Amino acid sequence: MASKFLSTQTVKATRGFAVQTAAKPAATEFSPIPREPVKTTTLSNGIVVASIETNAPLSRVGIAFKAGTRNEPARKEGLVHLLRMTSSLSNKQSTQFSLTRIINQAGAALTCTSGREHVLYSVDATRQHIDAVLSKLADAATQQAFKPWELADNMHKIKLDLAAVQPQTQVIELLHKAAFRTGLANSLFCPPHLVGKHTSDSLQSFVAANLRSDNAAVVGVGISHDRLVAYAQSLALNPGKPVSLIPSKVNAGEVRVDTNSPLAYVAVATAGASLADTKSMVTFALLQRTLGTGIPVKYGSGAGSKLNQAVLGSGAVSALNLNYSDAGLFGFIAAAPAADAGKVVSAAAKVLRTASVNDSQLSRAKAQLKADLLMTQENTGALLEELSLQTLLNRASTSADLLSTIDKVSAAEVNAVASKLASAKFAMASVGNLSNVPFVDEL
Amino acid sequence: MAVSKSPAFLSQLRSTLGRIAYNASGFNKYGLMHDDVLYETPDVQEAIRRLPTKLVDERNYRILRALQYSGLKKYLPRNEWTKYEEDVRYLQPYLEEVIRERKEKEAWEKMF
Repeated sequence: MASKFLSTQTVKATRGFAVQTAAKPAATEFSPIPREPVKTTTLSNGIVVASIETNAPLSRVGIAFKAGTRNEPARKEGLVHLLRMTSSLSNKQSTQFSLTRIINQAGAALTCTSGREHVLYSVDATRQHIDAVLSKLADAATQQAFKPWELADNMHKIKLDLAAVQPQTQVIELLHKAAFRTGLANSLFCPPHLVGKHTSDSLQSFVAANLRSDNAAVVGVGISHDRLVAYAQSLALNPGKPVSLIPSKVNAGEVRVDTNSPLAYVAVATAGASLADTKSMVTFALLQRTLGTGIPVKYGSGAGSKLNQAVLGSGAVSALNLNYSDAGLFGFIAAAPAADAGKVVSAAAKVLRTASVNDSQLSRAKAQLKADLLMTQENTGALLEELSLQTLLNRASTSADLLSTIDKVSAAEVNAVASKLASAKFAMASVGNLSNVPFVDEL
Repeated sequence: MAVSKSPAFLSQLRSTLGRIAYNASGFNKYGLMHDDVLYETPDVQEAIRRLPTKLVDERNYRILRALQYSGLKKYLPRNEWTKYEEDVRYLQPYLEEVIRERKEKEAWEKMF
């Protein structure tokens, strides 16, 4: 079978189109087996297992915890960045060397991603090899050792991460700082003044307090649900006392960082939708699509985007909509040459203040939002992260539900949300050459 | 009866012989410990690198003091000699780990 397939490829390459159609394999050979729906099980120790059997040759499995930079104690910011960095170092069960070799040998990849409210350890491998690396994933996610000399030896990775932070990322981090002040304000990156200050003990106590079975989820894409439930049962995780978090509140405020850059990056936002309210989340997402999220047609002018129309090519502007479990941010992010930055930011803020939609704009926004949602589910890596967030944060789950919610939103509802922006107090962050960037009270 | 007694007897003999060998080796007269006078093979160097700062400082102090007394051609006062019972093998856990890691690497390399 393999040789037949290879020869078909060769013919395609050398003989052109006519042969290509002739040599097309029979439909049955590649007919896809449809995905199965999401299956969820809750174990007695609180671990939620969720999986989608995609019947694809690649399996992805993740162990996720509802704990992120938000849970970092004061003066210990950056612990979660260190968790990302240490995920591939020695743990209590295996050395860094054997972990790396076994993962490599199976052609797999072990990663640790984190957000303000979650940490996700995940591994992906072909179906044939997933069993060999699942135990390594369990070790990385539940058996952390944080050997002090390894922490010190690998600190350059944190410095490299910090040096590689792009201004557009930095401005979003600073926006959280200005808007939330504590909790969600904590950056995804270790603050430069705390690099090398975190000890093995502080990492261990963070892990013990926050990576518990009662806030854990085991998620899988392309793996059978029974297999995953058995795996979740074998994990050495214990339930613990839930950590009480400060409720998030969106404040007005401003953070400005001048750098030696020819551009200015500015993010402006006010309170948006939280994950708790699906309807409002969808409404804000639709409003975001009508204001514009970048240019959908390559080399286009972004004619459908109100923000882009307002700045007329002087800069790049995109609407911003971020949702967390108990708060959200809605606004825009702009980048412009220093000379035009003032004009661009003022014009974009005016669009935000006067936003409204009509029916045709709304139906376009709905089509874009649905396409974006479904496109996320095509990428199984993004799907795995999405699945873990849905499970941990009770984010609206199945796409069918979400799609029908999108259909039900009316223009009047979007306009009701938009009208509140007219008098909203903004939080603002800016990075770059800020000589012409207005201050937040001038918007 | 005889069988149940022998381990206790053997361990007593072992500790007596150990004490004689320890005192004969002489480094304790300079206030050093067993793990202070290991040959610094790459394994030992790596283990020393991993030691917590406090243990490294204590080790360096003992070695400096020994060098000083050796230069003076003197021993420490007898009451400051390291006693056999007070010698701590502080480096062994780190050294064992380093050796284990090296052996693991060597085993992997053999496969290719």
